[in-house]
Amino acid sequence: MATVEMKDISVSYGKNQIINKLSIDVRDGESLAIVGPSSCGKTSLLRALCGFIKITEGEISVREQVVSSPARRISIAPERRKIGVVFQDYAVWPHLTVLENIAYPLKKRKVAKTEARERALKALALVRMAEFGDRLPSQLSGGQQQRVALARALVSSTDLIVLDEPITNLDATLREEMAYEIRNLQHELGVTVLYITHDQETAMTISDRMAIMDNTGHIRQVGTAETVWTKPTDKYVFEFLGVSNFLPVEFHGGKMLLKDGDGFQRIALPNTQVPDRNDLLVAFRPMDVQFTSPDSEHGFVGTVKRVTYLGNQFDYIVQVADQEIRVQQDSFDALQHGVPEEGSLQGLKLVDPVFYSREGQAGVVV
Amino acid sequence: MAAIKALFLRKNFSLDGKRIGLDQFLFLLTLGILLITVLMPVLMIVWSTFFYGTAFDYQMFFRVIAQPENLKAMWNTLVVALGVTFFGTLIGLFYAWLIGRSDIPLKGLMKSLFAIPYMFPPFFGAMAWSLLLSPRAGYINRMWMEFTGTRTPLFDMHSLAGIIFVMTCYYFPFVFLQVVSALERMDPTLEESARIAGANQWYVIRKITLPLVLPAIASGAMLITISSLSHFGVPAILGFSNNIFTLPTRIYALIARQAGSFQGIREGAALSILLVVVVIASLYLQKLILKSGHYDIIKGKSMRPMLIKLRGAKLPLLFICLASLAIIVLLPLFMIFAVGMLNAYGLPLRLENMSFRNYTNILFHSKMVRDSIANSITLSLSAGVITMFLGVMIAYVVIKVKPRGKSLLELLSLLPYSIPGIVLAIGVILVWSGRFGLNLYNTLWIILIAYIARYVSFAMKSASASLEQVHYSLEEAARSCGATHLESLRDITIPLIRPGMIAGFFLIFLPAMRELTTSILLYGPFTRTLGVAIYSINAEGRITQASALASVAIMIIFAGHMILKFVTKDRKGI
Repeated sequence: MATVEMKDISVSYGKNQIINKLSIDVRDGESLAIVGPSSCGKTSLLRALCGFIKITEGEISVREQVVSSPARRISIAPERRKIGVVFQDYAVWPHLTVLENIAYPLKKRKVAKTEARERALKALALVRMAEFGDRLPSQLSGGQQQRVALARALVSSTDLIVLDEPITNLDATLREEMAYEIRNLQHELGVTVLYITHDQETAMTISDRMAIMDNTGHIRQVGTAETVWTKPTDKYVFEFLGVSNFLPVEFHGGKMLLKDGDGFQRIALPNTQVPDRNDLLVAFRPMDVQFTSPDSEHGFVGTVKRVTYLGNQFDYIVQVADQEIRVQQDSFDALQHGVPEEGSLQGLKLVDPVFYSREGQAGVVV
Repeated sequence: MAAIKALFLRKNFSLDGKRIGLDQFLFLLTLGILLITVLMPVLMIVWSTFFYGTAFDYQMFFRVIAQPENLKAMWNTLVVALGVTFFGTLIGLFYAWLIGRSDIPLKGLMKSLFAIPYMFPPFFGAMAWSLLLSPRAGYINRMWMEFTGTRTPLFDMHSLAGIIFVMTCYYFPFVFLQVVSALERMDPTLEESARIAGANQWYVIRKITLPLVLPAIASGAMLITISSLSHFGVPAILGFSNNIFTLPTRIYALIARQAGSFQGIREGAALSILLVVVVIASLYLQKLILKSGHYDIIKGKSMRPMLIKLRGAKLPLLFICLASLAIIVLLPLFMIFAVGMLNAYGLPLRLENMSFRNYTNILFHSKMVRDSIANSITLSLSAGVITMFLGVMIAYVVIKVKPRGKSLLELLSLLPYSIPGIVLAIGVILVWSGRFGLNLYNTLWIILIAYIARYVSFAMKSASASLEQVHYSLEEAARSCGATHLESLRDITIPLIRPGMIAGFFLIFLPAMRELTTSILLYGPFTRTLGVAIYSINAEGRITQASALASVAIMIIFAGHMILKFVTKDRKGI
């Protein structure tokens, strides 16, 4: 059972606490992506799991066996944790050939030479690098080195590998291709994968579940890509996932009001029952706003400030009360209904908005 | 064996969240070695100067310092250091500008000629120039006197001016190399934009180029100052006969005159403190200057600079360059080899006066010379290997382990760089002549210890440079593949820094082969080194034999450089 459990772990460098009481589980055979902004402590989390840095409190178990626990004075050495690691900078050893790189973990685990060679060749074939076995890493491209690193990790551990932003250094096409390949390999081999990235698109491609980490080293939400995208637990997660619009609103007697100068604009929403509150934000993505007539019953009004044609879609900046929001519209729709002109007053209608409390980060989904 | 294995196994389970075991062990080991080899000698010098037995005695220090001969030596040291710095900087700048910024031809040839002074000890140059310009016997002076019919020599090499001249020839590359590399890394658009704004060539050099390379000039100049302050060989060869002393030669004379008595060593130690104070003051000055003029505009990346067309001045300047380089670099080498073949010193340099007799004499009939060559090779090889590994360990602890106290380790390993060799030798004598239960005086061991202390900073710098290139993830990747810490070092880190280790070895082996300054105080009847042998044969007046032996040393050093070049070229895609 290749599971990982982290319970209330903390990591600090000197006085600087990177991770504070973080808990997360990786289930057997699943692919879990941890997504967070750069320098949020996700690499530290991975290094703590592998045993390269010590945790100051909490407990880490791998395959239901405790590997790190300061309280119980347990700290298993990295080489005995049997975790395959793919590093951000590949960490392919430049003085060894591709095959020697991949066979190294087997050599360390005292596998017979012929068998080691066989298994290394097999792993090399898995990442479609069979013909490169005798090359030195300096003769390979970045993407090829990445495959070597992946093959080495797969050889090093047959059931659990962790990857630290391994494909961020590749160009966009190759990145996408590699992401799918990693996904396929994971399905094929059934290994448990922990994937660290700052790029939520890659995370969605690769993972069964994704965990959103914030820059204070806390996990905000864990769930499938669909859950996280459609039901972000709080404003932070909502904002992290893509271009977002937030407008301060109040509810009075079942009516949603948008603050507009000293007065209010009414935003009518179908089928919403919200108790009276005056501390909410309405959150929506640019694609979830539709233009209507300015004197429509539903929605609110705004002035179009800028129109940008992006090929497959139109991108607008619309002034609503004293705020600016981004609106995006499919080109086909826009051309059919007529593109709003700059400076014109437009009616706007929200589709499936979410509400968050204005103060603090605690989420309120209505 | 089982106990060692158990120790290495145990380190896998650290007990209290800290990394103990191999890392900790390396830290304590290197710290211990540096405390004994570097710090102890320094402390012993201070202790012996100010304490007689255990009684505090500051009078000796001031008595020694106030002696007129010592004051004169101090004055000479300052004059030499300032003179060499001034002329060396000027010459270095001239060549650097010509090679870095002008369209003068034959740059490659000139650059490789500049590397030659680095290879050979300056006291060979002093010997060669003494052969040419000693007041009565020097070949040029004799030609001059015959030609003009006077009895006054053209120039007396055995003077302060002579000492400054020879040392300048050997030390100007410090400024040259620093400034050339700064000029090559400077963004040419900085100068071009000034030209576009209407400034003329001379204005650009004065107001843009010069201020930008000022830090490089300052650091090169300070290297010259520090090296010439602690330099022993040249003033020893050129100054003794006319009673011209600098602090290092004066320290040597004080100790030699008293035949190694403790009083002599104490007086030497007192003068050493004076010398160290002067050196530290110069280092401090360097820091001040470098701090005030730090520019980040000079990038690490090499760029194609705007070359200045010399036009009509090209050929005359090329002639001046080649002629001066021939005089500075090739003439001394030629003299050493030519005089080494002469049957007797003073004979005209003609083929009929030449033979290999000197070589057969020194190599086959002198046990002292053969011993000295064997000693030097043994010492340089073992100092090279030991110090290189010590440097790797220190660099590993400082760069990868980063324990508390890493700056102390770094400081200790770089400290010998600013301690003059002669001072280090006195400290080593004080520590290892029985006071702490171990008397190594008159053995090769004491010289080996001194060499280790003297060259550990080279090894540490060279190892640091290559270790910085090894990203920590390479080692961690090995750990996660099932390698223990020790195995990851053996399989990954060491192979990756091997070229740096080999280069580091030669950085110690080559200067150790020609070492004179520390060995001259430490050698015993059977532990002469090559440098000491050449120096003493020369001092006995057997000048042709000294030259022959010097040319043997030159060939050994040259072979070493060739091997180094061959080894560092072959890098196998790393």
